Amino acid sequence: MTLTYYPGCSLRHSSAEFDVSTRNVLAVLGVDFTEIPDWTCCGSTPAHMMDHLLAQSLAARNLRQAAEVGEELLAPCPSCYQRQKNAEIEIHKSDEFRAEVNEILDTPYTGHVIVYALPEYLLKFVGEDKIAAFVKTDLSQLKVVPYYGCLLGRPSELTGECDNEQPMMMDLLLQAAGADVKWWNYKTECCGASVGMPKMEIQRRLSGKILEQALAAGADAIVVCCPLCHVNLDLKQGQINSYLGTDYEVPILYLPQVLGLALGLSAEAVMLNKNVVDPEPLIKKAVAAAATLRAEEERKAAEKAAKAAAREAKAAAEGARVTAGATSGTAQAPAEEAKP
Amino acid sequence: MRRVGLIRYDAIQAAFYREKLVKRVEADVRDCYQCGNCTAGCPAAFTFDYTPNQVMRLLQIGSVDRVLDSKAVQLCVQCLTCTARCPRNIDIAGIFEDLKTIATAQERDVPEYAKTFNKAFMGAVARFGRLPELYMMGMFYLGTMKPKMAMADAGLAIPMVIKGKMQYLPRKARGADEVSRIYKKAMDKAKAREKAEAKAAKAAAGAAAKTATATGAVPGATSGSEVAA
Repeated sequence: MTLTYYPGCSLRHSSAEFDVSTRNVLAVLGVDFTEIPDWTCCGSTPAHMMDHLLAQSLAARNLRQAAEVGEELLAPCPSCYQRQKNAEIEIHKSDEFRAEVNEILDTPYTGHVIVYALPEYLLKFVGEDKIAAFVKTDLSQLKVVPYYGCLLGRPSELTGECDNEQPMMMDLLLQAAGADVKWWNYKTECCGASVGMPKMEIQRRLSGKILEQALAAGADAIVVCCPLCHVNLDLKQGQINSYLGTDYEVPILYLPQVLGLALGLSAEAVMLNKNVVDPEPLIKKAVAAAATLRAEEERKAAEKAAKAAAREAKAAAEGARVTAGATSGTAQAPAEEAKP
Repeated sequence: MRRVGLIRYDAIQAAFYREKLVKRVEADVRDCYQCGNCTAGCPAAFTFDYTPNQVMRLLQIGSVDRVLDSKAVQLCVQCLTCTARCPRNIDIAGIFEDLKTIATAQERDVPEYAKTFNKAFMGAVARFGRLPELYMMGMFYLGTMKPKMAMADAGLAIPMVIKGKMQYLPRKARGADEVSRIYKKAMDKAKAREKAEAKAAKAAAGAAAKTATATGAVPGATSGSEVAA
């Protein structure tokens, strides 16, 4: 079975780092994939706000294009994932609806393509153990919180997450990659999504709260897996600061960027330079801190080993003296006994 | 949040939209018992004119026009928190989504530039196949006729350009023609459906009024009911 890859509109330009880091991480993990030939926009939020059949048909067109190459579709953008997953479920469930959609399409969709999100695919087909075995860079000093947003976790029946309110897939992947994952309560709070354009107050307030809560949880960076969450938290962080009168400077990283760094990819290979709030100093600091910590631990271990060796040597020497003393002691004992 | 005064219970509209929503999103507005969990969890409710639970109540009593023209329906961010937390398992976000599509198909003048945004987005997608972000934003701000809104976001262009994330000239993707046909066909179908339904509803109401006047009852309004927020 061939995995087909649907980048979507955002990943081609405004979120190029998400696209490149995802491709590179998949390459390191040995996952083969082909880009869907002639894919088009999934319709995103506006399509399903305008008409249901329009949204499902736009998504079905991409499923049809994917069916030419393979039976599995990986959509890293959660919005693309949800649109295509929704279409997949409804069309595969009802032949009547499939006929209705095919009436709108130029050529009919007859396949059975299954849609996956990035964390779901990595956990299901690569696994935590394999990722942990591939880790090359120690990120144990990188304190992060995973931010799922709305579309990766909800509704859990669709996304396969364990819970609507406490999704775990990104947590598990980040832990496997060796990052210091903090627990927080804002995993699934909304960032304001596309309503940020017609009504900016919603986006400023909601995204501001997420930044505040991440810092309160003790994190230095937020890990996201959605281009729109990234725009709202990273690109618009300056706007949030001027609206709320705050001075946040929280780096916002994509999940594959963190995974890539842990798997030994360079900062260029995961395009850290594309993030608006520069994450590089933080990453360097975390890696250096992990290195000094490891050196310290090694030094301590060496010291301990040296001490233990010294003690052993001393004990051995003492033991030799004791046995020597014991042999002479046995000779002296009757004399001492005789004294009192 | 708006105080709602005396509202007439419109049984015909209530029944019509209840059935419509049951058919389209498998959600029954009658299931709502006004616990308010949806409103408590809603991240955008502070900008709404009617809170989510008020919208549910308005639907129950058939005050549909008020809902379809409301800010609430247009400002819903579709985060699905209400659906996830509803103790009666009502797909509230699904209802909001469907109400938006109904308002679009009925070609209503909805508030908060929602129509402008959707049109700018889908127009750009239908023309180029894949979304040209800069072009879409340009079309949106042209549509709003509010230079102040455009200026607030103009500052974003600087980091976008520095980081090389800006696509200046939109290019037409292969398959764009099919997308534009899909857009036209689907929207025409939706508009035709709403027109036919409105016509049928009008005819039914007329017939009901005839029988009602014959029996001496008031048409449309079976009883008065007060809803206060």
